[in-house]
Amino acid sequence: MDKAAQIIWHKRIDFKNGVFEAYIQVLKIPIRDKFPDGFKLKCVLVNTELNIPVLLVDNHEPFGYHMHTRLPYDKKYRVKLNVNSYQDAISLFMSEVEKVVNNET
Amino acid sequence: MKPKKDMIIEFLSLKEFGQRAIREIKIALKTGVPNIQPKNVIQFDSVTSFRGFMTLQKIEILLMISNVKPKSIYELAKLLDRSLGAVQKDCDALARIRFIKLQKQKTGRGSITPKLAFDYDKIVVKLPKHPYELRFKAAA
Repeated sequence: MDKAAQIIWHKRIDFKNGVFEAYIQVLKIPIRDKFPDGFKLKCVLVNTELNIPVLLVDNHEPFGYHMHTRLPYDKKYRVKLNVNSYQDAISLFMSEVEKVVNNET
Repeated sequence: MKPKKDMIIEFLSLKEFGQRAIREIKIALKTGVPNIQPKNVIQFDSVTSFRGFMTLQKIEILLMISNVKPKSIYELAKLLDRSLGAVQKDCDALARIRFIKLQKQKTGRGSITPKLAFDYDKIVVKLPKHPYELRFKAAA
């Protein structure tokens, strides 16, 4: 983690009898090319039983807001999100979480 | 003596979790004051989900860890008169959700000691409030 980074928001929720967990973390970081907004957003859906991430949203450049949808096998595969703010990115992440979890069970 | 903190179980839907995140992140970014989930708070999306997770066997494990403080999962399994594999599985699940922590001993065989995530003696389940209304006129 970046030395100057500060966790400003971090919460998690467990669901589906504790098999899945979603957490959202926001780090406040100095504005630079990789994070022009001055914060790093990380939204993760984890299958805790298998201990693997399933979905991940983050916002670093050159991709902007994007989602990793082929975890854990293909970490480089990203889907660019057509959103302009962290609010929209979080909303989209949560709706994807519901879809993924409902399809998997 | 310092009073023990309770373990608190809260409920909110995934939608509410997302909405709350958006609201609180905005405030945290504006004020610079961090808002981090305390270690004594666990959030579930529903009572059904929590009940599906917290079986009677897991409650017994928590009771045993809190009262008897077994030094290993093997000892815990003996105390509960259950198979080691089943107790191990339940302990792993409890550790994942952060009810307990599994500490590997540095000495001896390096066995794993199950401990409460922090020193709590009570789990407070904050049931969601569902407003309920029964209109007699309509029912008649």
